[in-house]
Amino acid sequence: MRRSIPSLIHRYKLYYFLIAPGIIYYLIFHYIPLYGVVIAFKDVSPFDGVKEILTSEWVGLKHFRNFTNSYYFWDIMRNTLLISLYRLIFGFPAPILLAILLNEAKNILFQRIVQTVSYLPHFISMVIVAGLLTTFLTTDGGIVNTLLQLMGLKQIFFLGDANYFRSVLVISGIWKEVGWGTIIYLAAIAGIDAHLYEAAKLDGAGRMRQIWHVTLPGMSFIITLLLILSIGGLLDAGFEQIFLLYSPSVFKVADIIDTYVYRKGLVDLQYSYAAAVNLFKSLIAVILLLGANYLAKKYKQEGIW
Amino acid sequence: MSGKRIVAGIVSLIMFAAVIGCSTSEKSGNASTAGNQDTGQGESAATDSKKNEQVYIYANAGNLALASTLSKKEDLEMVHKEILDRSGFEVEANIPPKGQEAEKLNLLLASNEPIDIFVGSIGAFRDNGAIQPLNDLLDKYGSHIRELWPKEWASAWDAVTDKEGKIWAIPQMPQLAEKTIFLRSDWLAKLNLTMPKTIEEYETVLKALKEKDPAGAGQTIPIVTNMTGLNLALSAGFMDVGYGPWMDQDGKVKPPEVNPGYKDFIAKMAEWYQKGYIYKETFTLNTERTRELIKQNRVGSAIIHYSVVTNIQSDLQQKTPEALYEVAGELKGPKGNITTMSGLSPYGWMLNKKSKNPEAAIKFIDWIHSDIENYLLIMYGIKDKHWKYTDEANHVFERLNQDYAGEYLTASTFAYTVQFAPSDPASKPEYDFLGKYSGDTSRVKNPATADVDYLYDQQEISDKLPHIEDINRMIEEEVVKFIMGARPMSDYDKFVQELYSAGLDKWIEVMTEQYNKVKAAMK
Repeated sequence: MRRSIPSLIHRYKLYYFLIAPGIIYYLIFHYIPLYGVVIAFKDVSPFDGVKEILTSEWVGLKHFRNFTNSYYFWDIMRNTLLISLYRLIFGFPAPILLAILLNEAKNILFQRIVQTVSYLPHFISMVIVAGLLTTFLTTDGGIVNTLLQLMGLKQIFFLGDANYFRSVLVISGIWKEVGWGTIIYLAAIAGIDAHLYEAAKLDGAGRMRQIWHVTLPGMSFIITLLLILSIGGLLDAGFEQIFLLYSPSVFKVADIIDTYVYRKGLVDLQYSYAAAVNLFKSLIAVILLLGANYLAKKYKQEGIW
Repeated sequence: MSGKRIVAGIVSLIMFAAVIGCSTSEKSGNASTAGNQDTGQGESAATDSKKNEQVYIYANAGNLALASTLSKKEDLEMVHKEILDRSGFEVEANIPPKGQEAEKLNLLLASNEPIDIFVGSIGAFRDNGAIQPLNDLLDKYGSHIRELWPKEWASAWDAVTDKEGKIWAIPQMPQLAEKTIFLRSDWLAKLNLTMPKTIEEYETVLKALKEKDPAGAGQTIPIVTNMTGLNLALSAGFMDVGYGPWMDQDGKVKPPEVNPGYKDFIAKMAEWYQKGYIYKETFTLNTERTRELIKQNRVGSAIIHYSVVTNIQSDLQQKTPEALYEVAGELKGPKGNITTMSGLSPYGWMLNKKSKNPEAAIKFIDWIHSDIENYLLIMYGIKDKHWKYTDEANHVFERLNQDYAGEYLTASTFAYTVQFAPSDPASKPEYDFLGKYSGDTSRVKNPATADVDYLYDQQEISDKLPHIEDINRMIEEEVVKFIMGARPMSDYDKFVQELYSAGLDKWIEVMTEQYNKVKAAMK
């Protein structure tokens, strides 16, 4: 027999009470402000206050058209997608690999030390990371260029050279987050039934075969889940890092939607235009997320809903 | 069982208390920083308003961006109290983060934070309705403000006044040349060279700096600069006009980047970069880092905003007493004067449209402009504590310490700058430069449209040129690439074509139209 909603709420009131702060938080800070999205379709001056959001002139898709007609539209889209794609291709498997390697290391002390050392950078703020990178990579006595010079190679101005800038972004991003990413995979590995490994051994499977047939399938659910989530965030190419490191000579390869929105909104005061660009980005993100979820389900994996 | 319940009860109580505690401490944390103004407005406006009026300033006069540290807490308190005692105004200063002054200001204004006075270019603020016209306020309370500004700089008032005669700001500066070429004269002497007068001589100096390495250990940097520095302190030497939009023979206004002389200039800079005269990472340096290099006794010549050099020289001299930067005042390019005089800019001190008490704000500015000692108080601190006169009649003084950094400086004005002179080594070079070079019109060129472009209709321009930023960005990005050698100079004409495909045609059309309109109206 199904009960009515009020009586269900009454029966589990303690649970509802516990969940209430979370729901209220999301309502107030994530859903109610959503109405501000309408400024993307209006001409709002940033200094006129909240009322202006409702009363200002409706301009329809003008800002969207302006964005797609902009000379730099394709550059920005390409950079955003490429940088995120590189992050996904190189950055996503990295913690999986590290987690498997750590799992195979039989010396517990070694395992612990590596784990701790590898996830320390996660706690360093991006500003510090940018400072470190600038110091390491400078051509004026930076350690990397000094090493290059000692090996008889030419010095490279990594942060000012369009050929290297994206690699610097991706590699430093992996360095910062790889250890932190392993935590969830290690937990998944720990949850794999030890009997499976024994059975595999009895069947004559070596280390590699055990990884391939036991460890990886055991992790596959969590891998798919995180992959879907990261595809949803594919257009978040890492505003902070790029903003701290880029300069005009690498704009061509580094300017992404987020840095563009920052300049349009906060520097040029075109709030409506910036909102339109960001809404455009969110739309694509939703499409990507739905697509990834659909594909995951199609290939017999669990989706996120 | 009951024991467990008691433990659970205590734990939940502690958590509850922690939640409450955290949330209140967060509240008070806000109050002591940004939210400060809220409580201030609520309480003190109610209690103090009979005696003292509250004024909120945004400290973006520029002095703090160049200060090496902020004030000591006690000294800040002392100056705050002194201002209150002498003027009756309770001044609250909002200190911007270095390098992000403009963004923070935009955020504060958009989020209704109490800010009364700030400085900037009036265009976007006026068009977005962020500021208020000052005519009535100036008539009622601003007699000293008007008196202080010298008659010969009257055009600066025109630049902040619109067609209807509304005054939107109080001018801060007349036309000045603020970017220049400095050279280490002690190194020149060491290398048996003299101050260069031609580009060829300058190149000889650069070559000597590079090869003879006066700093030692390969540390010498012949040039540090940035794009603005190069454009305003040197490029005019290769063109017939100052850096800025120019009038082509076809009667159209065009950006300087398509001026044939400018191409020669960029070619020369690319050559210098390639030869290692220009510091390799110069275009990614921020002001802080540039000053660091100067302080480390490494920079032979700096093509940059004057204060980046003048305000750090005394720090450099602490370790290297003989170090001295001098302006290459007689240096000329193939086409004459190298320095561009800034055009009339609609720049000045503005009042927030939402200011709760604009009368108080303008009265406070009037108080500052009524007596130079008031100005010295907000800029340098308390007399005989932070500074003392060495020649009172001429307002020559020396700073006794740097304990007060100038957080309360507002309504800064060049009209005062020329009336006093700090004699201490930390401030003297700056005032020497301002007195000797910044206003000297005999050694500069003006941009071709400088006398009219401050009257352009900015709203119309942004309506007709929604993609004007694309062009600006392309210029910013590509010109640097040519200098750094990331693009060969043979590509320069291609770059000009790219400008046209990004909408330069339209840019030229709109700017020419604006120029002609204003010219016609002037007649």
